[in-house]
Amino acid sequence: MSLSIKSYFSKFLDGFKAGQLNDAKRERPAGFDMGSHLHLTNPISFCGSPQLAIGIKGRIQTLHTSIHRLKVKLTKNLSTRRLPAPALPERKAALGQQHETNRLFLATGRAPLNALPDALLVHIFQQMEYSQLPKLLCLNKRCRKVLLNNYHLIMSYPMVITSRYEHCLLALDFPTSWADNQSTYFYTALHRVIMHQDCFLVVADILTDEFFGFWEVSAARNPMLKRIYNDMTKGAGWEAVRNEMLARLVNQAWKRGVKNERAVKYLEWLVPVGYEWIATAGQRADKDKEIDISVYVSNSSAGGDNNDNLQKRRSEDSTMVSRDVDILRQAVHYALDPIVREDISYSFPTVRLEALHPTQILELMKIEVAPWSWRHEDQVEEIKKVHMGSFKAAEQLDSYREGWERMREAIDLVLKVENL
Amino acid sequence: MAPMKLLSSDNVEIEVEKEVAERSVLIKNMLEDVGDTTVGAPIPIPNVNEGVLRKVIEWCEHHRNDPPQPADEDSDSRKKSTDIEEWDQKFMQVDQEMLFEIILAANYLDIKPLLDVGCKTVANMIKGKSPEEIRKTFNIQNDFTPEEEDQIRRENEWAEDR
Repeated sequence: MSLSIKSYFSKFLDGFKAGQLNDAKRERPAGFDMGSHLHLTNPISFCGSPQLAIGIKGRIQTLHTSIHRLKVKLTKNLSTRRLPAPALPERKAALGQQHETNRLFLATGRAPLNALPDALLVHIFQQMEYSQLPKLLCLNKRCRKVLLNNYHLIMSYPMVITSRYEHCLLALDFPTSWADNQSTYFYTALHRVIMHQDCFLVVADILTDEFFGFWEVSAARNPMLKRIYNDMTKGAGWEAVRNEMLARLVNQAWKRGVKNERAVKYLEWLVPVGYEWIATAGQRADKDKEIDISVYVSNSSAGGDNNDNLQKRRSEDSTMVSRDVDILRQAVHYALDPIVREDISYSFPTVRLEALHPTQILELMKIEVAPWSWRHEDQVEEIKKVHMGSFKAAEQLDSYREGWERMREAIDLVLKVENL
Repeated sequence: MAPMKLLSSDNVEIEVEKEVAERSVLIKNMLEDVGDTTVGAPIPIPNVNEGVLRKVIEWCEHHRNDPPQPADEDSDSRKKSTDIEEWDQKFMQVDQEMLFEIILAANYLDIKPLLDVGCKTVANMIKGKSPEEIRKTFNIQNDFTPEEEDQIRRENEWAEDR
């Protein structure tokens, strides 16, 4: 594993620079500006012969005047309802002019869709779902220009989507069968944790998927990011990156001051081959730390009654598992920058982070930051529309909230079972 | 209801009930302006030919009793629903040239519900198609260079459904 990758992970997991990382993810780099490249956003500059330039300019000016007239008429036409009716002679004159325009339009013999005025193209776009719009950017230059002019955010939706999530409490897909079938859980991650008690490994997997998901897509889109990505990974594969993630997580757990003998053994077992220095350094550095992980264990256990016989009867193995979860929770909380945590809280207002399993926090982070699809935008719009509408909409939102509550209860239940 | 006449761009007079013709806001406003001064005289519709005008009148006849649309619908609000009622779907089963002529006529005559139906029909034709299929459907020329196209494809990669 290269040093640069290590420094990346250090930034990510140490927490101090996580905010910057998050920002970097959000800010799509300037890169190649297709709009200006295609002269869609900047006026064409005239080079070469001045006479030619004047000639072309003259023609373009005439064209612009005609287009302007047409635009004015079309605008009038679309908003006739709101404008006071003009006098009849004016109207007749306008009708005559439009007749000419229409004949010109028909005489051009262009494809009908392409020949529609901008206002009508936009009207058609308005009938379409957001998810259908981006592909129209590559139809031809005109459609692209109309879309870019009317949907300013179309190129930057991923940047604004987080703020839109506040309206979409259920941005995550929950199987509808959950209510009928208690064995099916909302979260894949939770399911994975149940299947694999080794939470650290699951989290390392999630982080690795997230890392590659983000960087591979970004590198494909932007040459500058591609260079950064190549410098950082130097061809390291998924396994190597996962090991690095795992090692860093374990390191964070050491930093939290793990004292329990079983937990220490467990962490040592987790350290990948070649990363033994992490365990040693962690133990040496944190020998004198006061943080007692058992505090968190008792906080998260069901009931919290220390005299409870049930707790006394805990098997050593299950104790170890519960501590894994708590160690991991602390490690993740420590690894996440407060800004990132705030961001998640903001995006999912009804979720109490402390009620979630650490893997779920990472799932939330993952879903919020990278794998966004246009379908989400449509969902958000749908919910916003319904929410604006009626009492029924409020009821629907309430039912969503209840869904979240049920999910939290299910998580609590699972954690309690784990603790027992 | 008194009949009135419309004069198409190819000088064909078409008789239509006033109530039906008034589905067009343009004609309605015009009749309000003119009043009774031009009773019997045909109203020129110079932008619309006979075939298209008859088609538009057919739509207006069928929807003569529809309730008026909300006065000031937010133009930015996304309708999303591309559902079209059955009769309108059949009505819009015409060749593309006629379809776009109807859209233009609806825009010109200011018949918003018809304009919506026309645009929804086009939106449905676009739905689920790849850019190449859309180009083929609507005979749109791809005026991007291969390099530009490649760049655009990469730009839009993130937006593709996962």
